[in-house]
Amino acid sequence: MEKPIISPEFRDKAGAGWTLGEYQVERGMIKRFVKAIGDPNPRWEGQAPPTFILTIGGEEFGQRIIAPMFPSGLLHGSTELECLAPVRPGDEITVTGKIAAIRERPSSKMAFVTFEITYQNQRHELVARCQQTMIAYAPEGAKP
Amino acid sequence: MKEQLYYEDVALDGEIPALTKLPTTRQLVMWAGASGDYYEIHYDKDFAQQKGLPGVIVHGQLVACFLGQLVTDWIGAKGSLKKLSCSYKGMNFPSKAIICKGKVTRKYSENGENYIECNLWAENAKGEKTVTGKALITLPARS
Repeated sequence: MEKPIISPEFRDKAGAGWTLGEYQVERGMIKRFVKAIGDPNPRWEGQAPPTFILTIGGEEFGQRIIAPMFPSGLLHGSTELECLAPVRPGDEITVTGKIAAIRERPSSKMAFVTFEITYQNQRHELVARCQQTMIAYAPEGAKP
Repeated sequence: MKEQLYYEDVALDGEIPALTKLPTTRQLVMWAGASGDYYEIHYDKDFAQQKGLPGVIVHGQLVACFLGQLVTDWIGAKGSLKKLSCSYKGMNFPSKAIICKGKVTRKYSENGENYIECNLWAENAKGEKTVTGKALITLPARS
């Protein structure tokens, strides 16, 4: 049996939302992030680079939402990030998300799923908003 | 320290100084750890091939962060990246150069802020654009 490109229990879940968690931003997380990118800018000693927020809650998003929703092939389609306030060590970020849209293309055995993720700090300020689009596909010609 | 970029210094159609990256599989693993993206297509060749890919591929979002670095290197400490969008059009492979580039498409002042819009892209050694995007930034003015 071929695996479905989107798990049946997620197919009618457009609009569904969740709270991924609360995360304390530690200096070491920012260090690890800039090292992984290879960005030695001294500016990032007291403040996180604007793209750092994309990693907050990333592991839980992958495990709780992405992995069960996409049992077949999966590629990242696009990222749209809006940065509204700087993120600094010590901040506590609450990450919430929802499935904004599911567009299936049965003819091409592909589906596009857009998630909207918001990041709020301990002062209840919205620090960032992000739209992530994932592409689910049926891997053809895949090696056994 | 890099010099501060000012609004007056930015020309329409002006290019952002290119940034070249050469991500190794080691860097992909570092990125997996930093981002929490442990999807195996980024470090397990057999798994990637089972998914119909030619081999391990670079995380799209790592390239998005390279494009973010391209912008923040350019705008200096007083500039601010407000929006960054990226479409992952093609695949990047480890140990292959990723050249990040950008071009100014619009500049305008509104509500006391000086805005610059840019097109951004990452290309491979063949000149194929594998990631395309846009950025909206604000810059300080000299006057």
